Amino acid sequence: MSWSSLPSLEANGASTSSNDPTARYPTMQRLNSGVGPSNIPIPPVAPNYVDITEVFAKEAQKIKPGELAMLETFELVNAINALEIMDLKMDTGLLDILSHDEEFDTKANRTAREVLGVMDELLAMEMSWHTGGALSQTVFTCLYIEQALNNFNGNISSANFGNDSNVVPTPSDEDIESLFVHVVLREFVVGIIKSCDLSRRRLQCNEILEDEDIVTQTYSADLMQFVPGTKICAGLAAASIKMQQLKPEIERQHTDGQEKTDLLSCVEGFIARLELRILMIKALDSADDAPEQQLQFLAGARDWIQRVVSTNSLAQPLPAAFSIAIQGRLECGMPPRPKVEMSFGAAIATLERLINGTIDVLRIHDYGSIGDITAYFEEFGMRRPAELPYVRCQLFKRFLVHRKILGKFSVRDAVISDITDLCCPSPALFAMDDAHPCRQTLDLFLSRAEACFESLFSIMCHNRSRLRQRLCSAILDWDSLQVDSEHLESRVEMLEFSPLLPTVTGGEEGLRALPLSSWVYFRKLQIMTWIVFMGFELDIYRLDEWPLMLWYGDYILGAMDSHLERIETILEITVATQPDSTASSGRTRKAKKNKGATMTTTTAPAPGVPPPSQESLIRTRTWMAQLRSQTAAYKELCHGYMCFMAALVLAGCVRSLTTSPSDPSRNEYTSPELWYRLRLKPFSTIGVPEIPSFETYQRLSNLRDWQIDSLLDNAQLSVNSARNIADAGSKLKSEQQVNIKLVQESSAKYMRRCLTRSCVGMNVAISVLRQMKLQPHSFGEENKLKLSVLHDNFHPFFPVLSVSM
Amino acid sequence: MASADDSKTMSSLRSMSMPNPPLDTELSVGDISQYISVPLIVTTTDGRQFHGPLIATDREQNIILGEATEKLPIGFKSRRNQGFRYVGMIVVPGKYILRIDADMRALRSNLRNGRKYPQISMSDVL
Repeated sequence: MSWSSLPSLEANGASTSSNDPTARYPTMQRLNSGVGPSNIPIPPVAPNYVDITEVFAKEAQKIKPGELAMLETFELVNAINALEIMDLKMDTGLLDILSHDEEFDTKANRTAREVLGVMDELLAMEMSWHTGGALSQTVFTCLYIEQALNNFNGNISSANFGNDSNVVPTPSDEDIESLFVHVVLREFVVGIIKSCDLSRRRLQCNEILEDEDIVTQTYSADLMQFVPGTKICAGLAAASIKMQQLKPEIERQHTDGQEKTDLLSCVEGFIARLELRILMIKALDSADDAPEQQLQFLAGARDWIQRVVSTNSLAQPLPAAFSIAIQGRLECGMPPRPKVEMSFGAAIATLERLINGTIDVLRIHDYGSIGDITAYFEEFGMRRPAELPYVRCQLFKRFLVHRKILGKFSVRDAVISDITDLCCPSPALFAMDDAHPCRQTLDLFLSRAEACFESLFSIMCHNRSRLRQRLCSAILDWDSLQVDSEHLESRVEMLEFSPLLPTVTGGEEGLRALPLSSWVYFRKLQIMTWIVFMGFELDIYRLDEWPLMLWYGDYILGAMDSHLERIETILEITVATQPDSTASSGRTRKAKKNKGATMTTTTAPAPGVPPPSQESLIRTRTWMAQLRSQTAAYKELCHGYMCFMAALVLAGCVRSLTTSPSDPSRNEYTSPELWYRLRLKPFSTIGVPEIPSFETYQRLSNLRDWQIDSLLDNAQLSVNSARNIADAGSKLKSEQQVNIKLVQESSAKYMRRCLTRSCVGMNVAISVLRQMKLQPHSFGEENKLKLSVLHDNFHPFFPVLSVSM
Repeated sequence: MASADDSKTMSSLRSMSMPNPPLDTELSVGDISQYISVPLIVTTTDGRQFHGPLIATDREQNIILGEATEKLPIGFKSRRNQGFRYVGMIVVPGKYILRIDADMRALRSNLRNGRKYPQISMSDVL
């Protein structure tokens, strides 16, 4: 019986004559018989619904073309995320209808090689998820995962591959391929689901941003969150044992050489993957436990990777088991997204990064002081390639446990320790009793300092770009903290802790130590230098903005340098005024290089305030020397870069930011001053050091009296000086350094080498430019050199410019 | 002319799918704006149904539905578990619309309030 539309229309009495206005528009031939044009029966609707197709069509004709009848609160902006139905690019349901997924039988037997292929692809999918793909594009595309999740009802045994809830597929020992699917693959699939669940739970933290780092959306699927990891590991272990028992069986039954060896290797592969999965789950589950425990599991997992890799060659891919049409079946309001592809090699590399990163993070438990931890966080952020989101999250979760650092000491103690390390104040400062009039204000200051300090660690765990953005808002907090500290320390009662110390030049007023303000200012300046130089690392600045940012970076580094010098001077004076003269024997070679301090032994120590201990003095001195050395190296190199860029501007290869465009007819929507203020916007509200006015910058960056050659000479001098300082720093032995306990020797060396390489790279660029013998020119199209910025293997803060014709 | 067999199968098919009665012309909805924010069921040419309140429409009968849910056609073999799937705001182009059904109660209340331009928001009707 044919169901052409015409007889049914007539049978129903519907008119098909051309008098009917709806017949003129083919789209409006509505069929009341309940059969669609493709013979798909239309689902019945609820009884209180009426068919308004005809009436609606008639009314719609009354709308003028181009007009819209709409809800008055509807705005076009709300429709941005609207999906267009029947458009393959937007309609995930259509994908599902057009797909042939239902033909794939998850109950069917598969060969060992195919199962191996599915398992390896699942590992690649899991790693793709860790590196940013959504679950709907990665793990959930596997039809086995979908089937298991569909059948899962809370009971682990329900997560099987049967497509009828009443029939549970039972593997038999005679049919080994059924074992491969329903024992090995099933346990593995359940293991993957649980690993994703455990990772996901850890990833719900402030430092990981949805859609930026990783997509944790599960589309209302329950990833077995209430099934304990131990149960799943037990299942995996049972599967592994079964495979072990199968090996002698295979030996017995099969006679063919190649087939038997392949089958045995596949079984070995299964065992390796199952064992790896067990250890992964145990490691992920022990994310909050004692570091030794997690370390044990992680190291064990790492050991199995080699065996997994060696059996990968036998894996045969099964593409039918993975489908993008799953997106049409999930509670997902997004348009279709492609499946993320990752090769097995890349997946293994990512897995190793995940395991090694998590192991590395555990090392913070071996800290010696808070300085070790801050140095570790700093190095952690600068690693390339950047650490995985899971590792970053794990770092912060391990760092701050129950509102205490590493679960052991409070953030306030960390702040006090950091201030002591830097400025070496009198121990009586923080031990002041409650009767002291400043106690409350001091406590208030310390609470605010705690918040700033803690958020600093949290910020360091973000991804690099977000890190810079968060630091820009953090310096505002530190700035107001500095105001607080200055108010506090200018109070009369606090002056006993910061006695007036005589300086070398007897004429001017003495120095006051002011440890609290010094510490806040130091940290603030440090963050400001990071912000400026991270802009180079992340390629934020255009090439014509480089001169401006290098100039500003030089300015900030100069402020840092003089601040550190001040702290060091005060330190030396404090040491000199100590009653016992063992200060001279404790001095290191580095301290002797100080130009700013000379010893005056004639003054008596401040009465009534106990001096800082010998040990903390030595510590502070060493750290101060390190900081000064690093700042000096950065400053020299920055100065070198600045001169180099100035030479390029003079030669007309890079446009100068300060000069207005020479051609007034070109419509520019910006002005140099606007650009200046925009680029320095994060620093605009900072009180100290204030950003210089645009006029100052214009004046100071005027190149009228300079020559290209002298600029290049200056650049070379500075770069060489930077290199010398860096080399001297790298020759220090570990006893002469502080805060190095947690940073691995290899990474510290690598960073130093990168700095040296940056110096060398710049030297090369300078000599190339010198050889070109360029003449001063205004910026134009003719003198165009090819300038490219190179990042690899150079220090992140100082990418190298390569110059060519 | 339809044979007796045809009409028997026709009626059986009809009872199986139970099409809803067309709107009484007495109710004479004279204005398209009185359908706005009424929960509709839009059936597309592939047999899927989308339930949601009408947000906007135009001359070509392109329909925008608010928080819509999707239902697959009967008998369509799919791995999908449950009946309805939330899809959010959708645009259904007029040329793919097979049928439109409206919630009678909401429609009546709209007519009763005699609104020409809807003053109530979606949540009042849902």
